[in-house]
Amino acid sequence: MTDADPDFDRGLARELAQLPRPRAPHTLLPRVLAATTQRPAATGWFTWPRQWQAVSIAALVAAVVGMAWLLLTPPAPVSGVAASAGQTATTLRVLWDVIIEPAVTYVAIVAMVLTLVCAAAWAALDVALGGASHR
Amino acid sequence: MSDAARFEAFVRQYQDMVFATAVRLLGRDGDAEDVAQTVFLRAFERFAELADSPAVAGWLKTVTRNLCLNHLKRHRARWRLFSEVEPQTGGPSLEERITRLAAAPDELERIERAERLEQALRNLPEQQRVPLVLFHFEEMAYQEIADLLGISLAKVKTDIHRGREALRQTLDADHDRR
Repeated sequence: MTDADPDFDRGLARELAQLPRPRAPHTLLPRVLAATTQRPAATGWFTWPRQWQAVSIAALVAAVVGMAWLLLTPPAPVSGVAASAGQTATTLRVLWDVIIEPAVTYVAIVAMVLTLVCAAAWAALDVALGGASHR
Repeated sequence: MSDAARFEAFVRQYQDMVFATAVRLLGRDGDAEDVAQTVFLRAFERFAELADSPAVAGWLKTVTRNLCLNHLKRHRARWRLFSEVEPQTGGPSLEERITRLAAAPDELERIERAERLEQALRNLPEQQRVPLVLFHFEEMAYQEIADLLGISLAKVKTDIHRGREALRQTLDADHDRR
């Protein structure tokens, strides 16, 4: 390495500092805007502002603590709601066993057959029309 | 103002800064535009957080710098080949030509010298140009450059010195030709 010339180095530093800043090409802005329209603005939790993240964590913790408290020491109104929910579930189960379950297999078979018939008809029509459906 | 309008204003405000950093580090307009686009897409993803941040210019510069260095690492072999085969001459734009026509002779000389210097800078080999640009335009210290590039302090000083010498020779050669 040869010795540096302080005068030249200072002069060069000054010239470099005075260089006009290269301007972005006119195509950059439209390119960026076009690219951003193709992807929605990120709304994921990691992109939230820090304050929102902190508030959301606090809300989550409060919800978990509240649920745990309700499960461990349910107050009287909550117990009542749980009991009526149990009765409703029992009624729904009886309805399912007696009315819906025996018929559901036949309904599924009919739906499948109809779907296959429609697909076959569509394919036959497509062949008959020389692939017109793709144009 | 809608978010889209705010983001457009944001890009307009910072596009020259981002592009200038990228083009001086990469030496090629096309690569610099690609990197600048990626920088703004990253900014878009965090726009809610960045839009009103006072540190946004620093964030953009840091992301631009890191993406440029990654780009150079990834494409080093290809980049070397192309930069030797087709050194960028990049003629003046219409706006620049009009500015020249309107300039006085002394001013014209100054503009042309600045253009030669800018071009000489972009044509420097990557290992000289990158530390030189980081030192002069990004205002980083030698040690910071060494840490960022993962090279020794002595190599940073040597590369910057060689880069300056190459610029001097280019400018002297131009001066002698005139």
